[in-house]
Amino acid sequence: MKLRGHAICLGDNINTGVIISVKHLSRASTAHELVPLLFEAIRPEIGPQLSGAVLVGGINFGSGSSREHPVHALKAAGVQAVIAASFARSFFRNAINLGLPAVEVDTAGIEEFHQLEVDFDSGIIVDVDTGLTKQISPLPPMMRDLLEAGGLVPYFKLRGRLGAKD
Amino acid sequence: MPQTLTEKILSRAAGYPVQAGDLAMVKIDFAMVQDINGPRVVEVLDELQVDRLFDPERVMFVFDHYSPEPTPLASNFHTQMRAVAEKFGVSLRDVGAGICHQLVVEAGAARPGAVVVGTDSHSSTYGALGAFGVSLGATEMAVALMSGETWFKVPRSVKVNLIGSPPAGVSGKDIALHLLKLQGEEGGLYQSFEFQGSGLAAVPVHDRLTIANLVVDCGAKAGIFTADEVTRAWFASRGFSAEGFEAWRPDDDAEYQAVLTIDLSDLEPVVAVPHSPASVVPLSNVRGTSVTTVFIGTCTNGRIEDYQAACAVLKGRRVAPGVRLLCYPASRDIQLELLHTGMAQILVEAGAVLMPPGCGPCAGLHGGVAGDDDVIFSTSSRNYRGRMGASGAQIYLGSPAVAAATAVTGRITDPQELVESDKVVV
Ligand code: SF4
Repeated sequence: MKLRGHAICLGDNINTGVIISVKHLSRASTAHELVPLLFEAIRPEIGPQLSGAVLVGGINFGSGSSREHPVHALKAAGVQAVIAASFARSFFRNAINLGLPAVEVDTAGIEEFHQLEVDFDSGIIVDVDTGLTKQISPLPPMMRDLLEAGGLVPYFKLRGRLGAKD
Repeated sequence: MPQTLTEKILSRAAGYPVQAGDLAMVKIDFAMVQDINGPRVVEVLDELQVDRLFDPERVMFVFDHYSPEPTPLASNFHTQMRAVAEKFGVSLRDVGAGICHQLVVEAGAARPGAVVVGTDSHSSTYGALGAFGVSLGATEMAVALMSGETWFKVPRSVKVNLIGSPPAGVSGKDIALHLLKLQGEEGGLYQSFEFQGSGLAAVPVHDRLTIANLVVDCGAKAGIFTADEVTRAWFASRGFSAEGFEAWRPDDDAEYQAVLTIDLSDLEPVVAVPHSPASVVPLSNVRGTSVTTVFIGTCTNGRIEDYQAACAVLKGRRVAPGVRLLCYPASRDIQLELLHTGMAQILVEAGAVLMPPGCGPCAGLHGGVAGDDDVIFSTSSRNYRGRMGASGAQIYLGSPAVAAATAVTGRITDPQELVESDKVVV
């Protein structure tokens, strides 16, 4: 698995309410309706820049509420992956379960709009504009299988049960 | 190999010994689905063409975030979930029953050693009674409801050694906020906090619920209190069996990532200031700050003991002009007790708006949503920017007693001050 996209840098402690405010959830019935409301409190103009992007967070990305809507909305906006120095556990799980690659890696030095290449097989992320290289640790087999299947639902349809291939 | 309490619980649930760092498939003992994530759970159950749940008796659906419904879409969500609850035969706690975490606790489902999952981040609350309580996303919850299983990475544990006993005026909320201050918003990431030590005896169950509830706000996966006499007495007094609790203690020589000792007798009343629950300062630093709204309720601090503390301050007093005091009991049982004991009357006579059980404006969804110029003193768990409505609103978090005193003066107030001023009048 390999992907390439431009970096959108967001900083530390980006909580789920900042990604998409819960108050919109009783008004929007599809993830696409949420897209224009993404990051409205911190970067209201970000919408069109998200397509094809790799989001770059600092520590504790996705903290706060454990709802899945932020991941659905990010996927609907065309975000390809999220890389961050650390994730809140519920965001990380939701991302993997919905087939959005989430990678824990030191993100220092990665700059806004630089092209990033994420190679899950070799475990390397490259900032193509500067040549800066980061090593990621391999995903546990079950999580890699989940991502490859496109998330938990397709995985389950395929396999009928959880657990690594045996 | 000696085990932490977390490792013990997850080993039992996995059916084989696990240790920190392992990826474990575990059986779940109880599952709660609330109405924010419920619609997606129902959608995935449908997508996977599930025709029966692993055990409907161990599943509870709760309508609390939209209680009652603020929009037509929210009502439609409830209609869908009602139908699905009926189809699968699971217990449905409809509008007005209370907040999900309180209802799971009242049902006796959060027991020592149990794995209890919920589609809500504050599912860590169940740790107050010795359970491994943790949140799941909606998609994985649907799969868990079908299979009765889910996966966890077994977290490392931090031993939180409580000693001493809190001085008068220091509540469970103050202990919890102190912990958040020590940890920061991310200091507990992926870890399980295990509360132990001689100070446990001085922390009653309602305070443990507040503390376990809030651990998730420093990133922790779980916060588990070792079951003790206090736990046993709580279960017994509610007619639940309290057998076998002894098994759910960590081994003496278990390995911890860190040990944190908190001397409860050193603590003072504190307040979390905008816009982070981990920005915690002594109450005296923010005394006198004017507020427009006071909110007493939520899964953090909407229990009967919280209203007792508030009513002790509010009895015979009035809410300051220009201030709205919103009270949302955390469950119908609590609401009934407010009515039976006369506390409801104290609240209403003081000028409080007494609302039905539910989350209220905690997440900015309805029933007292904040405007841009509002300054709120809340007993809830989160004061992120925009959490209760407009992003201009300022939210302060603290204990029910301080909330009540603040409602009376319209400024952040130490309840002790009111007692002192009464003396002057007499
Ligand atoms: S009371 Fe607040 S924190 Fe608790 S479940 Fe409801 S919205 Fe979440």
